[in-house]
Amino acid sequence: MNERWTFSTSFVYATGNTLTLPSSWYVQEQNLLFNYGARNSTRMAPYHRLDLSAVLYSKPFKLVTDVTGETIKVKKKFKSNWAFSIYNVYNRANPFFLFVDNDGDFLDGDFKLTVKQVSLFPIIPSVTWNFEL
Amino acid sequence: MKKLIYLCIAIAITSCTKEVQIDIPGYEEQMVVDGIIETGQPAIVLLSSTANIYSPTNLEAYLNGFVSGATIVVSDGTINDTLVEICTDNLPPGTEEIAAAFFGIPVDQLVTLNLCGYFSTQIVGEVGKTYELSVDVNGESYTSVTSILEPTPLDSLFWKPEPPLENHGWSWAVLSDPPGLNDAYRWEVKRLNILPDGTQDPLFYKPFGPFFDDAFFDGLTFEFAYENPINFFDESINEDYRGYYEQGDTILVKLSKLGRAEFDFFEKKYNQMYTAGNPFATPTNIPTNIEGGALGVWAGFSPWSDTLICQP
Repeated sequence: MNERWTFSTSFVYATGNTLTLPSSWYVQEQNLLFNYGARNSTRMAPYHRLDLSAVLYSKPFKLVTDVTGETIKVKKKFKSNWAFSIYNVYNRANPFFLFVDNDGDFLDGDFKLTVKQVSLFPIIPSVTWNFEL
Repeated sequence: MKKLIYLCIAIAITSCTKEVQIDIPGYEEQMVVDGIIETGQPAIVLLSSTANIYSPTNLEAYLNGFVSGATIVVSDGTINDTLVEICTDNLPPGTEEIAAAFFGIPVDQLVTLNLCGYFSTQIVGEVGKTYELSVDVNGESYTSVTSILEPTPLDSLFWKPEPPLENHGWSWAVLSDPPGLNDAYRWEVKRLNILPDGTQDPLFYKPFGPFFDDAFFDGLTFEFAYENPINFFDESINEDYRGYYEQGDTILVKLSKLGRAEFDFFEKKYNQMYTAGNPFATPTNIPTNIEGGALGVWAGFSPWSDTLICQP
């Protein structure tokens, strides 16, 4: 944007990974068992996220008064910058993997099968300070 | 430090888990045949159907999944016995214990449920015989064959305390496996102690990994142990003693022989059960020895039993 600020953005999109989940259940000897569909027949939701970042650089020059009394610009030896970023700006719960979970007891009448999704990284803001000599 | 990292990962994963409704294609309703014949016992067959993964899994759904009105015939080469359909809320007198042991449900609970199965009235399992099963239902036919093999007795059965415990230990056994691969076994135990209410537990319990074959010990004699499956999940017992038999416990050990195809079913079944919910487990369908497109198993078992009194 100017000599001190830099802005960038990144958008990632990918169709969901495929996996093999059970398509049906049945009971044998009072044990609930699964029957799986074809390999990779299930597709997870698409993966997409937006990242934003901004970097604030330190002033490249400092003002120094020389022996004649004149103010001059001198390049700084020590440089630094602050990097601000937000990973996954809209906090999308991208699927990492899916699994079938079970809970409860059959005979108690509260047995339940659910398909659950595990996600990894929500919105992650970060601040970094970098320097070089 | 490693444990802390694993804990953080576990917390992160747990906190980012949600229920989803996703399209899982490939569902086709299939018949499930769950049949068993054992030495000295009639043939018992349960007929049910598969259900979509999202369909209800309550008791009512389970009971409604049973299929009635099928024609099921078991033949031993001489007799063709058409099985009779009987429901658990109307069991013939004297069969309650057999049904309870088969279903794994206490008698007092079983008789209130409408679980229907098919029972043979003319054929009883005999060692050395082969039994053909034929199921005709809803215009479809399914067949299978199983045999009751010669049982292999244990050389010895004993109990010993497991250090540092002094009065608790596992059941130990010595088995001489006959030469030739494809011998397969099932281990079950039944409590013979009289319970505080004066009754005896009619159920057989299976430990972890109750089915095993001789792939690694063909023709050898070896010693092995099994934990106590009866109290393994009993929270009324001190957790230091769960899975152990206490000195003085009396149990009936039943070691049953079964065929290769039947073992393949049960081995894969228990593999699936033990990895249930693990997203990194290999999704494997359980093989079946039923012809015609049904799932399940028609299994013949030849048991050998002995009583173990837990004394050093």
